[in-house]
Amino acid sequence: MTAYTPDPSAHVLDANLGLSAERARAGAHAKEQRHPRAVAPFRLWLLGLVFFGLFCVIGGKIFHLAVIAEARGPLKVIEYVLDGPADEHQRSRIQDRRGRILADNVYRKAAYADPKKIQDLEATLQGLAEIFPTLDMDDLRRRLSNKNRSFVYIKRGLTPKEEQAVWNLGEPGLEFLAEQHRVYPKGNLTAHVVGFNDIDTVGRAGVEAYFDPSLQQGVAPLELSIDVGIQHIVAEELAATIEEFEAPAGAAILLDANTSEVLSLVSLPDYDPYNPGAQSQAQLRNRATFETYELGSVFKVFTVAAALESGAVREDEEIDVTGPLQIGPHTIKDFKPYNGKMDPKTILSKSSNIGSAKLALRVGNRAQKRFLSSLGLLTHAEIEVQEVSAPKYPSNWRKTQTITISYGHGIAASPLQVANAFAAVVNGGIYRPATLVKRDPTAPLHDGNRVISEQTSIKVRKMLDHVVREGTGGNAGAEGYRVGGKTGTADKPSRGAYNEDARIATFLGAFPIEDPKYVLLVMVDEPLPQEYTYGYATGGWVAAPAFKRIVERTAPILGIEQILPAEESD
Amino acid sequence: MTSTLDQTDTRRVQLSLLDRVSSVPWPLLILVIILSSIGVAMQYSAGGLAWEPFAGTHVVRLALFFALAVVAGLVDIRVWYRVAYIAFFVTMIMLIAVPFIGDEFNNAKRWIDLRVMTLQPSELVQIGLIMTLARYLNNASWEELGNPFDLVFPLALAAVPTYLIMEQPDLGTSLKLLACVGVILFLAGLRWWLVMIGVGAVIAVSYWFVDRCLTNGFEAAGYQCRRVLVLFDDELDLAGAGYHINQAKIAIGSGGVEGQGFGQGQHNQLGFTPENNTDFVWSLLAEEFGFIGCMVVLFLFSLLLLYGVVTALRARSQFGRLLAATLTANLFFYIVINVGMNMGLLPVVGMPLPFLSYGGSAMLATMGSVALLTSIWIHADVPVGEEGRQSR
Repeated sequence: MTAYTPDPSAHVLDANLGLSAERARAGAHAKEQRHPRAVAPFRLWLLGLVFFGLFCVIGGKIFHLAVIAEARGPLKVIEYVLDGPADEHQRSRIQDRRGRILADNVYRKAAYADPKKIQDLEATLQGLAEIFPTLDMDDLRRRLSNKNRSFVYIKRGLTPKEEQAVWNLGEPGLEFLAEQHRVYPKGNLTAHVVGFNDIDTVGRAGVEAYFDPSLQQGVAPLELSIDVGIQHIVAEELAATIEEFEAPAGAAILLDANTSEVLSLVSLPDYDPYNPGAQSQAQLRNRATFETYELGSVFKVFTVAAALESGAVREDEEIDVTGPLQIGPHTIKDFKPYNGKMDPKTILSKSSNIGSAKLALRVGNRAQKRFLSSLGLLTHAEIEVQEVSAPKYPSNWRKTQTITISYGHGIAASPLQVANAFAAVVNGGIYRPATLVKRDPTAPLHDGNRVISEQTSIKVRKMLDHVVREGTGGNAGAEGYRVGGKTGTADKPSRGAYNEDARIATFLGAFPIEDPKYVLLVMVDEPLPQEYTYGYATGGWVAAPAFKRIVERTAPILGIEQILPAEESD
Repeated sequence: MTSTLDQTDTRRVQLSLLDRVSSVPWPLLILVIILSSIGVAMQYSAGGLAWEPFAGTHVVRLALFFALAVVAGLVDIRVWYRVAYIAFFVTMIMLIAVPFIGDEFNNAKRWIDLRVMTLQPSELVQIGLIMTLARYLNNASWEELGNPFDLVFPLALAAVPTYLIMEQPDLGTSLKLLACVGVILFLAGLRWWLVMIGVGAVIAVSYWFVDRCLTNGFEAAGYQCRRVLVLFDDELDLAGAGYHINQAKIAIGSGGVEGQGFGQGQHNQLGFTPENNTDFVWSLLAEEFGFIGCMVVLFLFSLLLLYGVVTALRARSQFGRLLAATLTANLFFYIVINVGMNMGLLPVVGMPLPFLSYGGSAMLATMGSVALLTSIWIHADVPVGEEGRQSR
């Protein structure tokens, strides 16, 4: 190989930019002298220099990206993978009052297809059909044939095995996406409180829906007032009662009597928060906050409280309850007719409709309405779930309405609202709206609204104690604990009339009754009378025993001191 | 001047096979083997440290095409000179056929299914066009290169494939083709005033394009505008046009100086960087082998390109010189555009990295270039075309 010697004229020619000079030099040997080949080496070196410069720019950029930018702080690849894409907010966790997790996030893979990238549609469909037998293949075929789309979900929430199987199809048009997915470790137990998210992690029920905007922010865990341990006991006892009395539904609420924090909110039947779409309406309905019931005689507590507070009756005053009471076309009767006089305590313990009506008439319809309003019974509950509804009461509130409302008919409110109102009556007379959010125990207690005086509250407590000791609430007497409360048995309204065979049996009480710490409401919807209840399906026979069992099981956890039987007999 | 050529001609008109084999540019071929091996390693890593689905095919293709390239490299340069127009014609037929019988993938129609392999004629037509222009310009006189009217034919020849490729759409490849045409005309001795007009036109069109993109606003602009605009603002469209760049940059940053190690690039192995075995294989390299690995590969590429430049300088014939230089420039454009877009210096276009990226057509074009460079090197002193005929 002979080395090539560069043409010495090349530089001269190329450097000569003037056309006139080139023409001037044109001569006989011009063709050879000005052969284009001559300029090539110089230009090649020039081009090489430019190229080399560009390579240096690239080298510099690599240095910048890999060394300088990296030194400013490592890119968080690992964190990104474990916690999901950094630009996507993690939805806040939801915890109970003791920090136990009620809702949290995991990342699950979704398989999707880019129809444009699919190489073999038939093989893909066949493979997918084997992995996901439930997929609608005709629909999928239609969607995957649409080449205008670049994103078609195949299946979301894959198990690792399914993911591997899809991967093994080896189809380049099938890809995966990590999606945030909500998990509810307590499942059905807290479903009515926590609610659920849709597949796009947007809250659709319960606390998830109510707090959706702030949960989306993903700042701090949401701490609920719920205590899962208590919730479990309440749900278990309520479920047992519902089964025992062959009832279709029920609800139970346990409130902190002073702060109105909800420690337990149970509505049965409940549902599987992972698959809300497959549940019946009966399961999805929140009977503690959304459904309104005419809870019957438990309202007599409010009637007596209003009467005592307004001075319409004295604690020891005796009122004639001889029935029946005729008000216009209506005849008011008592469940167990009684001829004679009764003091307010006995009106409660014997649950006299006539006595309660007479007290209400003394109070007057305006004062009664004002009082129930102050207890939050005439407005929407402010509880932090999506499922709330307004109480139902007559727009025309006259004498007849005053009477029926005095014993809890003609007014329908959610069990939570009634329990909340009851707490105000027994806690010393201060109403604080019920909440599902844990209160900061170190913060001063919200002032609330005084609805009755401390003295009236104490009087009512004594009467409620009497109801359990001597009256209709005897079955609620928890062993070792002083409880007080009121039964309620209401015929359910049906097609404009009351149906005597369909009842709502309720027990609403507080413990310990001398200084109530907790309020508990147990409500059973349409219980059937049993032989051993002597054909009764009343609040006293149905709900009171459940109340008793719940108190006996939860009071030790809640730190309520047990009293010795000897002490109790005082 | 003439005498030198004549002497050379008489000395080396025909080379025996032994002559040719003994003058094979071994360093060039060794560089190709090293780069190909790195490519196989990257495909192995991109396939999740497995031969399937990429590395196995990649290594078979590389070996086959490399063998073909060596054989083709031994073929006389004058044969390549003679078939230049035919090569262009055949590849053009394939390119023209694409809109009718081609396969669409990722919104672009670029592929022809040939049963044995799927071919991307746009990659091959570049070689055909460069060969054709080299042959045409081999015979162009100095006067012709100063007369704009004499440039109409070669420019028209280039315009057809450029337009067809742009319509596929594959803006990156068509612009690269235009750049190659510019390079070959420049090296052929295009007058400086014409060169300046060309450079001016490129600047004007770029300015017009960016200006139009900016006035229309990001949302209204087409995807090509978006891909340009994201270069100026990293965060502009992380989920859309900026996605590839951002993911690749994260991967490169993740590699740091020494890299995460072979098969250890989390960002790539976990599938965050898209197309990491094809157009974005650079980010995989950067994540797993870091700054050092990138610089090594860049250095190997530099050596390869330098070899191409030296081949061009050695070639006595204008055909060989223009062909070698422009093929080298073409390889350079592949590398610069690919690496540039991987690092957010250039807009994202479909541009493979020679030897490293998966895909047969680009590899065929690359190995074809290697074959021609080999042939030019071996036949450096052989006169071709009219010069050859004149001397006979």
